[in-house]
Amino acid sequence: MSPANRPTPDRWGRTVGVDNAPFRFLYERWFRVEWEGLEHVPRRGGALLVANHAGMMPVDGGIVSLGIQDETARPVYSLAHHGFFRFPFLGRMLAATGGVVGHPDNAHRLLTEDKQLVLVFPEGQKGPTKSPRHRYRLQRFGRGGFVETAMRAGVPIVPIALMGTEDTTPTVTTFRVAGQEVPLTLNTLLLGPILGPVLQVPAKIRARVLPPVHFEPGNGEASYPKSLLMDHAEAIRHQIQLELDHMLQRRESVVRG
Amino acid sequence: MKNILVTGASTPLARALLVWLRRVDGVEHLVGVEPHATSNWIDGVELVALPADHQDLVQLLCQFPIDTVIHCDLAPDRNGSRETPHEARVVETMRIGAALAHGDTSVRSWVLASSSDVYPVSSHAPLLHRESGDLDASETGLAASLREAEDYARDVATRRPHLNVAVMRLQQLVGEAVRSPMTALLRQPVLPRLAGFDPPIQMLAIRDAVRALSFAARLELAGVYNVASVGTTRMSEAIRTLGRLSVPLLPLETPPVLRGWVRRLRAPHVPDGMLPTLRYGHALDTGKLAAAGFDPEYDQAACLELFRKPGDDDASA
Repeated sequence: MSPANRPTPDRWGRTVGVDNAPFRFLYERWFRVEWEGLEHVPRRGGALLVANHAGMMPVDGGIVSLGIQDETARPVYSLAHHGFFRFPFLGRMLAATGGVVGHPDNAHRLLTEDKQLVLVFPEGQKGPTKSPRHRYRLQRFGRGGFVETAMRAGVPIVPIALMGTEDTTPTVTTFRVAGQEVPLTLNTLLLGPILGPVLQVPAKIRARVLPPVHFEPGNGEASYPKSLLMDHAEAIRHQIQLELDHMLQRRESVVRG
Repeated sequence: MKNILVTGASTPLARALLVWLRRVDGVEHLVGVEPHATSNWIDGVELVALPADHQDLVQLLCQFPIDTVIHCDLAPDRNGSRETPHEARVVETMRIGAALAHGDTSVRSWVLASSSDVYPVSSHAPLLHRESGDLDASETGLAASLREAEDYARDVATRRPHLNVAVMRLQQLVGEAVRSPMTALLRQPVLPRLAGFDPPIQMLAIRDAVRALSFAARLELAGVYNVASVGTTRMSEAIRTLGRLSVPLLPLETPPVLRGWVRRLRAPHVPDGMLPTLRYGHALDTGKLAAAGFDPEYDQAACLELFRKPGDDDASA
């Protein structure tokens, strides 16, 4: 920790994002990430990136951030569960790589004032806790809050289908700790609590960006009808699900892709 | 803004405000209210005790007659004297509110100096609190008292449509005479920080606080407004700016038996109530007041300069 040459964090605490050598190794060699449709990521202005989610120590957020940062030179901020920020060092590390407390105000500010790309996993905790039987079956997309966030901010939603990320840490079972559903992964079971989350199944990861979904320009309404939000949320979920089904069909093996 | 009554007159905030108002054009009469006044004058301003009787209070407001009341006696941790329990200050606020709501006074503007302590400091909180955001839901303590007083002020505003009630939520006040948890933090010769945390922090220079209160009174603002000096800073940045050493501490409260010793030995410690701020940070969105036309003079770096003692420059060079 040398305070002298550490880059200055922005107001969200982000420094250089996930651009570091160990993560690059994971990205390029371990998971051999391949992208399609990166042209769909807006080059300017705010946009909400929406993807499917799984894994105990999720690499999916980092992979999306690094891929988009490399391609478009734009930083990506990810909305994360506030619980992570309670832990010393972990919270800071998360913020330094672009993690932001998942509060609607924060998302709105990032999208409107800062005009940034914001990544959200609407499955939330239901993602990492789904069993291998349910992988690539999208869970409930919350209450459509992410659609409301995009509509209020007047930005498009960019759906992203991630193949491979849901095989990196297969969930064996879940248990409740302090009211939170916590997954126990195969990796942790075999390799222990320290090595387990780090050493993940070297699944081939493919990421496909789908065309942006634009909404009617926000009419300044304070709130939108819940049914409208749910309709949009379901449509986007369905779109990602179709894409995942398609990618899953064409996949020959988990590791080779 | 011709005849102004300022409560909590002996607090650093109100004193600075009175000094400022004396030089404002068009101000004819200034009255300071202070229940435990030891003299009748403070900085050339007449001091009176807050009348215990409702009718006398109305009478006091009808003097001159008073057209503006600036209430500086609400947030105890922001103005130095912590002796009076904050419940008593809430009652005082309600009494003044009652006089304004019922009496035949000609007060047009009631400016209430509240505090950023109404907002929760937690991992759930957004980076910047907006006026419309969630408040700290604690049932007791400072936040509960402030909420109660603000609710009451809103009540008075509804009942008296001609009275403009401005609730000014002041961020952590800093300045020479100010004694608060924030100043107790930044005045330490070796600064404490929490290992593994680097929160965004925000201060309000007393001069900006005074200007904001005076601004609200002059424009007869109504509604709730956040007040802070420009921007936010980070704890690590603040430590670097002040050029002092820092010590990483565990996120634990100092046990009560050790508090006296820690202070006496000037050992780095987390002041009472500052633990959540040092973990998660605490900052306000001041866009609403800016949109009303208010420009703070200080930014966070300038606020930190207030904690530099003469000769500090040599030490850090």
